[in-house]
Amino acid sequence: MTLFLTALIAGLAVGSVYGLIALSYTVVFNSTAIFNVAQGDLMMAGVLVSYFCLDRWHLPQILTLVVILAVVVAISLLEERVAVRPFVSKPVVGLGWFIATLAFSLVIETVASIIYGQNPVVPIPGAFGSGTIVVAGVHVATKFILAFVTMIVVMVALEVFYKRSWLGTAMRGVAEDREVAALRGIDALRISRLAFVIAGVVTGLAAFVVAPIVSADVTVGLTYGLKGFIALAAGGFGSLRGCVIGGLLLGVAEQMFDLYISSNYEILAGLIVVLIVLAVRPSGLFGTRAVREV
Amino acid sequence: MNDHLIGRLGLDSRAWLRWAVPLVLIIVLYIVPQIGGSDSFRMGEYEEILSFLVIAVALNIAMGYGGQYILGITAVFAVGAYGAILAAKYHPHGVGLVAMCIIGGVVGAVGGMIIGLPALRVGGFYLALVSLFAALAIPTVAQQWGLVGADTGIPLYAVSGFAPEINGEELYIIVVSLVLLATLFSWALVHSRVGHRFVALHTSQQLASSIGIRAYRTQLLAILISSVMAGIAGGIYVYSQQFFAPGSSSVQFAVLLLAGMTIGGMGTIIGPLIGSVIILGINQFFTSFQQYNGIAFGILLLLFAVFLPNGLMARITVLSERLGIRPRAPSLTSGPSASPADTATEPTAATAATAVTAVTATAAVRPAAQLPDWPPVLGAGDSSPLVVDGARRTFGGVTAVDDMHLTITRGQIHGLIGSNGSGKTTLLNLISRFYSLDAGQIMIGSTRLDNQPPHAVARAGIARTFQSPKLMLRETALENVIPAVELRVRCTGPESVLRLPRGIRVNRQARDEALEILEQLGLRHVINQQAAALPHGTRRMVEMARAIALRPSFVLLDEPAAGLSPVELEMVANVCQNLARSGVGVLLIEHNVPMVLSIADTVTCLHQGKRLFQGTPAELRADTSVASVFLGIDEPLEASS
Amino acid sequence: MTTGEPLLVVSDLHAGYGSLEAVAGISFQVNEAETVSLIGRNGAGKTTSLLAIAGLRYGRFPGSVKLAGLEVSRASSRQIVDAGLAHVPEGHRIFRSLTVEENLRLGAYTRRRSGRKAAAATMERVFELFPILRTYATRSAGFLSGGEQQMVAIGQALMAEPRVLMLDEPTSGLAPIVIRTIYDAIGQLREQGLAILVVEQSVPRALANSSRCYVMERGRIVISGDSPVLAEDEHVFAIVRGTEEVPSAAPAS
Repeated sequence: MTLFLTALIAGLAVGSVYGLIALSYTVVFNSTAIFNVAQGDLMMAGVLVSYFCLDRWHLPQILTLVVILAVVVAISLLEERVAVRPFVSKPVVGLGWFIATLAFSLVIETVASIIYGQNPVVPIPGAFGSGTIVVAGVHVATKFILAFVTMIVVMVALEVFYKRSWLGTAMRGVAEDREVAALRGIDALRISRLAFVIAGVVTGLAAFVVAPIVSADVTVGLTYGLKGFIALAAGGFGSLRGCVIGGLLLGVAEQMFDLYISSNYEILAGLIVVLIVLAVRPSGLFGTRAVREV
Repeated sequence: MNDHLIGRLGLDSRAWLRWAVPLVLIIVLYIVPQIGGSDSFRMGEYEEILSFLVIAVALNIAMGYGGQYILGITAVFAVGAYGAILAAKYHPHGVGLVAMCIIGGVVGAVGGMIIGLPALRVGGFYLALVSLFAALAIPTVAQQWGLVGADTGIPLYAVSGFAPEINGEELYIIVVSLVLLATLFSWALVHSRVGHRFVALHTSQQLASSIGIRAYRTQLLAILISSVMAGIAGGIYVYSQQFFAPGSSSVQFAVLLLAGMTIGGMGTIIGPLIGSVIILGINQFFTSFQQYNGIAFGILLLLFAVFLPNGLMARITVLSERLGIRPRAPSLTSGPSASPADTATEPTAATAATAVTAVTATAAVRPAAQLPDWPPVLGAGDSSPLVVDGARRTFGGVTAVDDMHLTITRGQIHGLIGSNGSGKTTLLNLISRFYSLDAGQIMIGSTRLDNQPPHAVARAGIARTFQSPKLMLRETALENVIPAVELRVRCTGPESVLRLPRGIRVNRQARDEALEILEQLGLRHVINQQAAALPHGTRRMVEMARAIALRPSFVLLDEPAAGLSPVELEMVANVCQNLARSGVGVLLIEHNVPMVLSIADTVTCLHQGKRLFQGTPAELRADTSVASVFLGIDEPLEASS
Repeated sequence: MTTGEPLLVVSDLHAGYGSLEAVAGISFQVNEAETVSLIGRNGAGKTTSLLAIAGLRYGRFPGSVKLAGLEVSRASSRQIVDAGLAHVPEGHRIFRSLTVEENLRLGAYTRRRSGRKAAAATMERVFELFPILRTYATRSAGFLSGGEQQMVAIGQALMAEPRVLMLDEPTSGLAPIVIRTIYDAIGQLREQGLAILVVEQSVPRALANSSRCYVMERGRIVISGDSPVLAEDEHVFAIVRGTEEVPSAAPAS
């Protein structure tokens, strides 16, 4: 039973990371109707920063968080300017945005591996140390709890933002009809940039909480990106709650697969999850919107 | 080429370059080993690139033409390759190149179907996701799996008993030939009835359904064909390299492939090939800077995606038009009624001045003095009318159509009028089966239509047009009408693709019939012009030609008069009357009330989803209650509006 | 009805798409408390003109647009909204995935610094103008009928408290009762002092609901004058219908 619980908790923790990535996707998507392929690599870049701050330079955790957010947001803004803006200002035809964001992720990955060099994958200290808390008779690592709580907080914050704030409502409007938004005085360009800033913050937070869980590894960007996307697809495009549920579902499925079937082929868990969910509920569990026609 | 041939083919003296360049390239391809070195290592490299090209051709068929985004087709390649190499490992004596290709193709097909089937249920974008994930997962799984050699892979060269019968230069020539064969096949496919279906579906599912194309089946076919080709590429690869490991088909590979497609330009036959060669060349060039090549690639890809989204082929086409090698097609128009949104494709050439003259030259749709009959072929077995009985449809609380009764009699024109929101277009979409009924039935005789898929409606003999003409913009007017004829003039896919005798005959017949209808509608002068270059009114007429080409029993016209000049309006009215005279039942949805009243036999007026009036035009004119509710007291029925 | 000062003055305006010029130098003005109509065939350049005035330009073209004396021909659409002009494009375009309330609120986006109370007060006035919207306030705008969506679109534009309102074919495809409602509302707005420019497809409707009228053809204004006078002018009908004959009772066919 404890094995099951341990796996469940680990699944919820890793799933929270997937959920955070999925939330980042949703923020960008809700405002530009495109999907940012580089989101996973952005997170990985944040993890790298975390490694440098904590393992190499021994900065305090709070400062590390700030640095991570700054770096990830900066790269996000660069990406918006270079790889996204050209595609969002005109009606979308074809794969252009996909290729552009994919190209950007390639660059991030290469730069990251150059910087990180041949260093082995090393663990990164967690925000509250490596302590554990006892929950329901099981020892739960604080880093797991931090990941889960962060995801919930971010989701709630985003929900409030979209429903209640001027900016949030404007973001939803801009995604639908940029011309009408412009006629009402809403600067669509600023809104897109802001979406990337917000997504950058969410991804930066994801990097901060996932670093102690997975350690520094520059090759995982695409994998996390794809898994975040599976979380999004399973949960349903356009739904914040869907991101959370999808992410948790994927994380737990992976851990269960590890436990009961085989840890070598864990990656198949993701494939199975997405195929099953799509077979049963094509629009995802909470799905509302369609991606721009690819 | 002698002048006679040039004349017959309609080429001018510089156009022979169009044929000469590819010919030269092909010759160069064959003699590469003489130029670049023919040691076995080099040959292996060449053959690796060539296998890659086959995958590019496969992806182009599925994605460039069919619109199926199997981004992770490298997963299918890997699966095919593993299948072939395993077969060779356990039966080294019995398995040669042909066997490997066949096994690769079969295993690849299975892999492609596993990925494709569930993703298709959901929608194209999920195919991209799932296939990309598979491209990631397959190498990861293979790394752990002993059967396929885990991380080290399977070294076929080390298997005793395996001695490839073909090698060296012979193998090279055969591989090149296989690549050319694949390219030829893709050309033949694209210009066959199968290819027409792909492009129609890629353009719009609604368009495809309206000419009887089965969406699901067609998508599956696109995925299947490309999977088989990718699997065969796996067989070729394994035979020539005699080795396969997880690293042979990484996600990196998928990215390279995608990069090649982007740079070369999808949707042309040669584009992906050129792009792939360039990308692979760059990849080779950068191996010494292995670390940094990701940055270079990324930037290159980014620049192309932003500045040359249609790839190099599009630029080359523009260039060859400017140099007179290719006939110049009129492009960007802003005709009297075209909005900028209509001109969806990149202009191929032309300044504004040329565009304007092009518009005036093509805008005049010459009315046919006497239109020939178009007796129904599809659905002609029955003589029953099309009956809508008690139809109801709500959308989230709003009842768009309520308790609708309507009969379209063969040989008569039934006008349907009403303001926006009155349910006209919803009703049309219900008949076409783009929406399903909440209640009621739609039937022809005793055959119910409302429980059948959209493509079945067309096959039952019901053609339709759309409020905003849906055409395959990159195809010519003629190519837009041919697929409709192909619904009736049948042969099997393989016969058409492989140009078997019956296939050639049917291909030509379809083309001739399409041409005939376009001529009858006075559109002869635009048959070879890209649909994107046609002004709005002409596009409407081409769409009508497509509907007529089905030789349907019923034609549903969705506001055909919108944005037309008086001359074009007359043509539409003539066509409607001629259809009726030929025994076709016409449903004419229109805002232009005077036009409807002048040609309709029956008029139905809708208001807020319900039937407000049904009767003859004379009765409508006399009915003042309709006038007051619908048309407004101050606006007489005959006024222009 | 006395009209006030000229709030919108357009002088030799050119506009188009890239290198294609669709508007070849038009000049007109709209005064306070006045409704002016702009009519012409499809493709005459009416929509392009209004979009250009509102700040949505697709290319650099010469010309002058003054709002209450302020030159705005090079201003961004945001600045133009701030200067007091609101444009309702054709096709009752609103944000369908948002509720009616959210749509209206977004109309006041440029005034969000004034706070929620101010926006609520403006929204109240919109509801008085179009009472049916009050009942649909929390409904998703995509589920409304075409006419109701048009009311949302107009209301949304009004939320920025403009002094000049432009409407591009606000009643095309709508039932007569709805057309009546919308023109009644436009009339009320005019009485409140707005300068209103309406593009209309239907010539009788345009002339019946405006005091002055401009006729556009191929990017230029070819006829202008008081609406009652133009209503008697057969050339107006001929130009708009694209024929040179006076229209008979039945269409040519």
